[in-house]
Amino acid sequence: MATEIQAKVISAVNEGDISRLRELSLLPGGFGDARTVAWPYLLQARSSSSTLTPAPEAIASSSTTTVASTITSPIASSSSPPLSYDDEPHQDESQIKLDTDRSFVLYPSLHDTKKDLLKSRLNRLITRVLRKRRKLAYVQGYHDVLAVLQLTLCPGQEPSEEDEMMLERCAERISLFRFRDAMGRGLEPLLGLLRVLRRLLRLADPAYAALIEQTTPLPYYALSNLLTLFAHDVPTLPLIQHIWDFLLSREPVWVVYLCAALILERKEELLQRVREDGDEGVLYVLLSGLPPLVDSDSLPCSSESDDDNPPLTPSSSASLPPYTPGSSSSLTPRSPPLLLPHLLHRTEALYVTFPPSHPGLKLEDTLGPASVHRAPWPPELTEDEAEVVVTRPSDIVLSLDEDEEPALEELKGAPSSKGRRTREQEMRTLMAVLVVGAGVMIAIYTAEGGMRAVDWLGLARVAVGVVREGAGRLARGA
Amino acid sequence: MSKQFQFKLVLLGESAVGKSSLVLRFVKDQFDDYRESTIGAAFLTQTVQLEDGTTVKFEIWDTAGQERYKSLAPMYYRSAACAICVYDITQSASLEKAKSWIRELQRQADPSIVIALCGNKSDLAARRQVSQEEAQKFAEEEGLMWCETSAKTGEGVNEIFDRIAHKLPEVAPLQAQRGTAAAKPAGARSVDLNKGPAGPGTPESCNC
Repeated sequence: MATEIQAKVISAVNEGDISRLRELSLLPGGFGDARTVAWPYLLQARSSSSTLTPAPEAIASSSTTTVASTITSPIASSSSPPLSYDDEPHQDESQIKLDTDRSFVLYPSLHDTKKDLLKSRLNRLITRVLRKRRKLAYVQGYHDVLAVLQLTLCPGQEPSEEDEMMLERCAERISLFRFRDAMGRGLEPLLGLLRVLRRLLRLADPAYAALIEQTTPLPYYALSNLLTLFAHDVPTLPLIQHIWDFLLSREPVWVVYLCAALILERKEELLQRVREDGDEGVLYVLLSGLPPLVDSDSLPCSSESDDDNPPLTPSSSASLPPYTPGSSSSLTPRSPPLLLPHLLHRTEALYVTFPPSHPGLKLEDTLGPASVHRAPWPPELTEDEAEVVVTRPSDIVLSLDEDEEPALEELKGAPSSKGRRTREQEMRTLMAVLVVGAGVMIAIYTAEGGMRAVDWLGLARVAVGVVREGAGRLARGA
Repeated sequence: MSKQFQFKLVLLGESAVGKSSLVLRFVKDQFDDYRESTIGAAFLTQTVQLEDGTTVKFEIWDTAGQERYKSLAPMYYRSAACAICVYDITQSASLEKAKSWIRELQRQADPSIVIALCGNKSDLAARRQVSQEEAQKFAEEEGLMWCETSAKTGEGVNEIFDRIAHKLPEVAPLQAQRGTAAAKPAGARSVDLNKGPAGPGTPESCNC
């Protein structure tokens, strides 16, 4: 079964069939070991051409028995030279050292390779990429991203030179074409992306979004997932690899949808916890941690109801660690496990309903054309152009100063080619949101059979805010 | 009838001085030799009981240390009742960083904020670069609490949170006023993480 999927992955790579890869990434276990072929292909690491093309070295998928046998001379035909290593240190190397020294906290005892060796290799990898691409700045979390690449593409005790060169190429490509928005001087691009995420949540579930925003106006809890493509928090390597199978076969902006789908998927759990705790902090804590994720590959048929005994993650690969809750999310063990393929399907549905072009997302008003989240994919820029782009933050993020806009502003949708909605429609939307919002709040606050004074205050504040914003909109519309 | 207080506390300081480790020791009495770097900020709570029965609940925001995350810090310290600025006694540059955080707090944070300067990694005294005298003198001049801690051994950790917990209720009436006044800061909607019904330092009404 596993090898069958791998053969399909390799065949899709050979045929340059991205949509097939996307389908395969939804299956339990994702690409499996074939991701060592698929990721370099999706990152276009094998050549510097600007279009995704079948890997030039013909991969004989029909005779594939092991993936390793297919990766012959992975960069033999590369038209891009391997990283040149400039001896002049990059300005961020002391910070890099601080972070790589304490890296690989997740994935305990995954490999025989000693942690110190993994750390020094990671340090060398980051240093080499940044010394070549000097305009890129290091940001904490980048090390988590490259660590996933390293453990996937070069996991062994003594990786071959070819594997190491391919790892470096992939690291360079992912930096330039997936991660670069965060590698300028500031956090503004990330803050822009948080606003897009907030709008997506408002579109998908206005009442729920309003509840979350009451305690966390911008979804800062999602910052590390957005930044590191989930690498910082997902507790096991097979899970993060599967998530990356999904993300790397899609445009970079998909990470926003995955973040949103995860938040939406946890609605019931969160509402219940807010009811139980009545504590504002609990939302941030829960949302900044992950629920236990499971890849249904490993599960018995009745997995979804198997809450008492959350299944661990053994799958097709041989050496898998037991699930260990992330130390930064101590409350997550109480969360019910979430099936990863289900989450990925939900992400797709969310994307279809509210695509990046949806006026309510205001993607193009927020992020500039140079942002990886707006740029065409596969990328059209050359690597050198992509590196220079990070020095022009104003091309990456356009506007953050819309904080004062009413919380409900985006629900009506901006003027679009499909025509403007009437004021009556807007009124109905507003009233519906008011009713639903109030209903949710009341349901939450009364579930325990009584309201404390402070709860009334909170409820009243939300109600006042909604009414005020509604009045403001009507006044403007009049 | 015992009093209950709830205060927001923020940890600031250079990368890898041990901010997350201090919190982990205080909240869970644990220590990891290697603790992954914090991305953005982490949130934890811990409650301290004082001798007179007063309980003080800390809402702790543990921030990322890298310079580029600095622009997020105001959001976390804006409505904080107290801040711990952490340095590493084996890195003199980290004291300078802590001092710059203190200056920023003195300029930007609530004027009544209680600030503690905390030299961590006291178990590594053999590699000390920051003398106790130097740090203590600075703290006294600035009117701050000062202590040395070791998140690794636990030395001094509970003490500093205890001292803050004792100090806060003394300034709480003032803080409570400010908390009310600051409950609807203009233009702060997107950055105010301290939004609960109980403002910073607002005594919660007794349940009994």
